Amino acid sequence: MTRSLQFRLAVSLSAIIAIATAIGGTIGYQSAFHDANELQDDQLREIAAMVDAKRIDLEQTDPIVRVGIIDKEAHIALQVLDGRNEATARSTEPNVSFPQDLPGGMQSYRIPNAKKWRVFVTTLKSGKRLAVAQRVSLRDEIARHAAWRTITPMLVLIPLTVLAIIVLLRILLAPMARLAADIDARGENDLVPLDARGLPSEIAPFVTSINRMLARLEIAMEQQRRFVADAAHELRSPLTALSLQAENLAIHDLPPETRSRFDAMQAGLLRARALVSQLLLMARTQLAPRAEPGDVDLQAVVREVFEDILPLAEAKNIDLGVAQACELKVKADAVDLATVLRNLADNAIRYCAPGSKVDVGLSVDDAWAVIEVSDNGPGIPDEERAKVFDPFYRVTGTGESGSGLGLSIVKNIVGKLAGKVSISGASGGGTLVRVCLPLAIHS
Amino acid sequence: MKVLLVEDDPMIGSAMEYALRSAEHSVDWTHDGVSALTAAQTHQYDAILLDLGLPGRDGIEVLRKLRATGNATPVLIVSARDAVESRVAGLDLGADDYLLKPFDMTELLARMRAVVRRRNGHAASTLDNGVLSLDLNTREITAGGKTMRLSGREFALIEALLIRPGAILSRQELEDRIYGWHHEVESNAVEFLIHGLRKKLGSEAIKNVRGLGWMVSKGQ
Repeated sequence: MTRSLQFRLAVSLSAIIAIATAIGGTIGYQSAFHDANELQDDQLREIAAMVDAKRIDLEQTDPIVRVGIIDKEAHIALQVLDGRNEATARSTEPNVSFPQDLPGGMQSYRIPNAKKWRVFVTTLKSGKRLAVAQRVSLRDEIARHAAWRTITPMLVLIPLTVLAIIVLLRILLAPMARLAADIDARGENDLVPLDARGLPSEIAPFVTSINRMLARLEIAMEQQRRFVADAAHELRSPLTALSLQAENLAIHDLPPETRSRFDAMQAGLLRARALVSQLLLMARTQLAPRAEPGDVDLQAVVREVFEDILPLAEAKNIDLGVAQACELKVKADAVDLATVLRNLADNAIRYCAPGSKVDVGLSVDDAWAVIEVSDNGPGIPDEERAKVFDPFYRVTGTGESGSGLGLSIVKNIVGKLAGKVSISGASGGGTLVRVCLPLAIHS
Repeated sequence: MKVLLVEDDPMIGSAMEYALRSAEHSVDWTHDGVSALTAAQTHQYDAILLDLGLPGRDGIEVLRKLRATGNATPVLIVSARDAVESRVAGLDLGADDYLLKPFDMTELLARMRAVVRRRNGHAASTLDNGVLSLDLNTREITAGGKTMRLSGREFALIEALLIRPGAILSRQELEDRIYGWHHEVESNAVEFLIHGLRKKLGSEAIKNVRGLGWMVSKGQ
């Protein structure tokens, strides 16, 4: 988490904002506090001037309040310092008394054993000296209030700003998260270039580099597949020549001993031919798709494959049939689907004892078209089930000579069609292969 | 019949030539596209066996040139190219059949016969799968050396199956062939007919494919 750019940016930006606000707030607080005090000093001078201009009559009670320039809460004290040393103050604070010898001008004065006051002493035109005073604690409280009011908006804005930063970072970095998710979701053979649109220009170069690497990888894989396809293709010619020569030999009457040797050789040739054709099929399923797939009716595919492999089943006296069928349409290449089903059925027939039963079933499960091929043959041990999809892997001890490619081809095709294939035990102890393909969507 | 063999691979070519000769055909063997064209334009052949991957001139080009000059000799493409496109291209250009290497010589010979027969315009008056032989004119069927007459519905059913031996026909499809659209069909009418036919033709003549339908074997 601490390596997350988003997290680091959010934390550091928030810290900077907090520190900046703290410094700005402190300065703002102090200057507002100072300004408020100045203002209050001015107020004291103004009151003194009003007394001098006789707009405030000192003979009345609460003269200042009466004038209306200040409320009772302001706690302003007025005192004439006329040597009589009595609290003649007609003020909001009647019970304070300042010494007679206070010097003129603005000053702070603490009444012994009592509060501290801010006092302005001036000499009136009448010759009397007047003290206008206000309690310091009150003045400070008012100043503090004013200062807090100044910085409150800043304090309120901090969490909002931090929230905005986090949201903004999340939005700005979302394309990267999406890109990562995109790459994660890819199939192993999906080398289509990444989409760099909408990515910040700082990240786009990485994507371009990754795309270049994908392109190189694609070329390398393509070359490898091409090699397999070419090799298998090239093997066809000598195989054709060999089988033709063998056939030419078979035209003649052979002594029984030679005939049995010859039959073995022909069986070997057939096996080589099957291997080469499976190799080619394998290479082809890995190469780019031939054409835009259309909707294929699975029932038609089943029938086509059955027509193809029934002779194999009959030769082994295997009861090959359809256990369950329904109308199913899949978006795919019909040849691919036939290959999947043919390989599965061929495996079942090949590895079951004569007289066994092989069932093909079609059903719907959610949005999946399900093809099941099950048999009551020997089954595949649990620990080998995952491996049988590997190219050239053969379950040992079956005495059969398959190419070892059948299930790899099935897996390739099913993968290409965004489907899934699994092997489990059939109820009768045999093997159940289940292929799920996305159902074609009809508008 | 007289056959022009166009094949650049000496091993395959010689094996094919030997096999064709053994089957009593006369064979001219050319190794490249140019001499193949010359041979086809100067001699009359019953069939041309054409490889596609040829030096000098590609087999597809040879075929195009042949058809462009009005040569209608039946052409069988024998190639290792199995991409659907090259099959389609070959057949579109007027090839009569397409055989993929490696192949069995017996199959090649059978396809040659079929191509030539088709070319000569012999509309088949019998349907045959090697076990059953149905005479479409007399409505008689021959099985195991015995010839029998069939009822109208039996004939319709076995004809449907014999048109394409090895193809599986569902109950619905068989009912459609036997009865018109407006007929009420009894639920087990097809089974009843097949039961009767098996009695006449042998129990293996019509095969049931569990869950799909019925078929007659493809034969040899």
